[in-house]
Amino acid sequence: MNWAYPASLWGLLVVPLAITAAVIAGRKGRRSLNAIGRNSVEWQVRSFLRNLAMAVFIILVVLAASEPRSGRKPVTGERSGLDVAVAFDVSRSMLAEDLSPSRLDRSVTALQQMLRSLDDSRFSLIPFKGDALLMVPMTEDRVVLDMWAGRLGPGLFTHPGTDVEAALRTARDSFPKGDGRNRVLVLITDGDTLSGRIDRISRDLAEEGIPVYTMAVGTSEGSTIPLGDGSYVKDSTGHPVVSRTRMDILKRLAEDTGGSFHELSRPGATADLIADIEEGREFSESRGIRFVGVNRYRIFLIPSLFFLLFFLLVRIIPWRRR
Amino acid sequence: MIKDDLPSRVRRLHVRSRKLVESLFAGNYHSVFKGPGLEFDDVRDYEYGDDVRFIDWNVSSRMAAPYSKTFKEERELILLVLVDVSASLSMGSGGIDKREVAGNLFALLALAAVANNDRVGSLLFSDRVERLVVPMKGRRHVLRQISEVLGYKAESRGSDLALAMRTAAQSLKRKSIVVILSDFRSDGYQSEMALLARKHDVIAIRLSDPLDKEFPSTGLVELEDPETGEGFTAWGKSGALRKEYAEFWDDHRRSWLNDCRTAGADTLEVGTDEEPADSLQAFFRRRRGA
Amino acid sequence: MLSFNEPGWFALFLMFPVLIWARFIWRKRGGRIIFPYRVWGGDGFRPPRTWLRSVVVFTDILYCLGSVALIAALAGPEITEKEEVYLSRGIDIIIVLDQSPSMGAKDFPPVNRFDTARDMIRRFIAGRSGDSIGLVTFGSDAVLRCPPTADYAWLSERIDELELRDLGDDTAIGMGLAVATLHLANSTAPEKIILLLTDGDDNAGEIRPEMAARLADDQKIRIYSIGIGSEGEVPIELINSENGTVTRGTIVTNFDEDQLRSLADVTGGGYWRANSPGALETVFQAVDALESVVRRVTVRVSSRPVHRNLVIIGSLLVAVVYLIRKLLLGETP
Repeated sequence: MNWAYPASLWGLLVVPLAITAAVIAGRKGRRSLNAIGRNSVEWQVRSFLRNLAMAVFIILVVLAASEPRSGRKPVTGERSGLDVAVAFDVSRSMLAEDLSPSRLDRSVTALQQMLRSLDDSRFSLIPFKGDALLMVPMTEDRVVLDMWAGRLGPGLFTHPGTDVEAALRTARDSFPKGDGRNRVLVLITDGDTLSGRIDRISRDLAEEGIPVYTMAVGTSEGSTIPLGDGSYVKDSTGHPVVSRTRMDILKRLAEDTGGSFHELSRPGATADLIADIEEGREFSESRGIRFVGVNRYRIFLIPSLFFLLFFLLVRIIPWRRR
Repeated sequence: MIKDDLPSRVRRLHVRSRKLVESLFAGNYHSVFKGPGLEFDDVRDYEYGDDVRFIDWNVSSRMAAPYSKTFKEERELILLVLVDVSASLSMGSGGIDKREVAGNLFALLALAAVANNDRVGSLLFSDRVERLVVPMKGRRHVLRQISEVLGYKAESRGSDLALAMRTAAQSLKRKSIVVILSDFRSDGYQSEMALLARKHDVIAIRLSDPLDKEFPSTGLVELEDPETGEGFTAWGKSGALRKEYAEFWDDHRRSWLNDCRTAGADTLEVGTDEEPADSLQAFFRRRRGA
Repeated sequence: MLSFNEPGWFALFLMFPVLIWARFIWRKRGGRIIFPYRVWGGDGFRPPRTWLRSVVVFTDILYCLGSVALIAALAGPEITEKEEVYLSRGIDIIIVLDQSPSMGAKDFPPVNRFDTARDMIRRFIAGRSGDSIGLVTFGSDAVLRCPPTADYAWLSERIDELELRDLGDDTAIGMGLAVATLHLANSTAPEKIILLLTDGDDNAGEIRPEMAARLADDQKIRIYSIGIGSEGEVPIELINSENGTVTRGTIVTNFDEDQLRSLADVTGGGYWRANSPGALETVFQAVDALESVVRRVTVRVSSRPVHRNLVIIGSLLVAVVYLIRKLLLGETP
């Protein structure tokens, strides 16, 4: 189980507050009952149960608002054809040479292989760095795609960084409206110093049933980044920066959206990626269903409502008449 | 406060009442309770010096000679205690409620009367007469009444004082001492009380509680009147509520005092925070002095 | 449109009347503290009316609303949108637009030929759906501005970016057609169309229009050619985008009607002449009508869940009520 809104879990911080509130409320209640000469075990139990019910309600409702997600459910919908949005990392760390000749060159080769293999598909191309740009809109035009594939490089943007969220969002928006085609997102990145709220876009993509196939370029061991003149990118202390791939994030992203994760450093990775995409498409076209993430907020919302009812019933139910 | 079981409570009250009787009633009991006063005894020839008021005209005219009534003073008192067992007596801020105080007062009075060899009766009432025991003599009889009053569970919740007084007036043939133990949260009893007080020595004992004078400093609470089942939501921190509450019950107390004075009944207030024996003692001392 | 994916949960509302009755009306309910305040047979204490009453009622209502929100959230509310979806492949169209200076002629109000043509293209695009549309412009040279795409937003942005004389002062119709043909060549669309808009004679480029038309015909691409411009002298105004200088004058433009017609004929397309904005509009409507193919359309319902908002609103309401009644007013129990 993972959370669609993990940030909401911070809401659990109100729990100590809620308990403090319950204790204060309990004390006030006892004082009231003493004043009126009715302090009895019955009333104390009642007060305690009500405050307890409210505290439990708050915990459960926060969990419900964080939206636990697990599993995927099929959704019917006839689809044919395939649209692939390719988000392509052109950050400077892509110049690292832990893959030969460089991460960038290997990635471009992989992209070209995809363009050739998925020949009846449409592609859009979104190079990204600290910023993302829809360079080629969703098109079948291989001439344009091949041309831009060859021109990908860090020079396209001046904004440093690796904003995956912006890239994925731009990629998602590149699927034209009113198309009954299968949609697939391919993220090619070295996964270094990723920024942006990946959980947020991942949630949206899962909801819409757009799988993200991630291609990790580079190695977990990392590599220094050459500047072309024989020197390397250095940090403020003068040590060469080592770029490492955050495999876990990419793996998680693929898992959450129903795609798959691949490492370009492994032989046959590109072919596997293409096979996965085709398999998904075939499944969708032959069965007329695809899978979207399932939100299981009800498993917390139902008990929370129960405790809300309990909160009320503890008050309403007459225990014994004096 | 741990509540005693009934027998031990009776025992404890017994001890207290003995003290009360010893210190107060010994010797001058009748200066506290006037009693029925003179009781018709016989007629005899009129003698010079007899009060003309005592000439029995019926006999005189039949015998064609003046006859004079003779009286003997009634030594035996009749005590009838009206005990309010309505639900409104279940009020008490300090662990003891009015109902318990009423029971204690009844026990004290009854035991004192037993010590004096008087007759004791009791009338338990809510909005109806729950139980009437005609005044009788005898220690065992009185003790049984005490434990009955202390442990009595009322069948009805309201409080109809007028009915209780009417019933008392009907059941008492001779002049008696009628003690009313109630919170007087009942209306329309004024004329009945006047009627009762004309013939009997009526002592109205009003059971009170600090909660009568001031609204408790509660949070938001929903209150229910035990007699009518009506409810309202109150906030004890509200100045307006506290003010009106205090004024209302102050008015209520004053009109009670006024009613009793008009009817000719003697009054005593006993709070749940007071020792009933002490209150009675003070009351009797006051009466003897009067 | 709002819909619920598990509306059965609304049955919980059936509890409401019972609970409301039990909480507010039922005489034997718990939670009431025994406190005598009445006088039997008389009046008794009447609580004064204070602001408190309104606070209590207000918070009771908030509590109800909070529960309603949470139950509604349980029912799985979704904003659903119906969307027409094209299952079959649409046609591919590349619009080849003349960007030469003569397009600045002011005989097509409100501004000039170029802006009017752009307007018409925008309208044309808005009327199509499911088709891929691309854009090639030409002056001395020809450039692909947008590959055939269904992403009309992106295409519109490219159209907006166009400026006259970007590509020199000549009119390379042949190059324009050739570039368009190149980008349509490996399209899998059932119909491939080039929509040529020009106001002049081909006078530049390495490829002659006739040659380009034959290439297009080989690829089963049809050319619809539209000659625009009125006859005679027309005023022209050109703004240099670099230094802002304005050049005014008059020109006489003429296009080779026979050539445009033959381009269309060779490829099985059509030729129109538009000498006014109204005529141009009619032409576009004609093309639109000609190229309407029957397609498989399905209605797809896409939904966006909104329950989370209700969960948050509902829980906040309940928490606020608890805060006010328990902590501020010290409610018991």
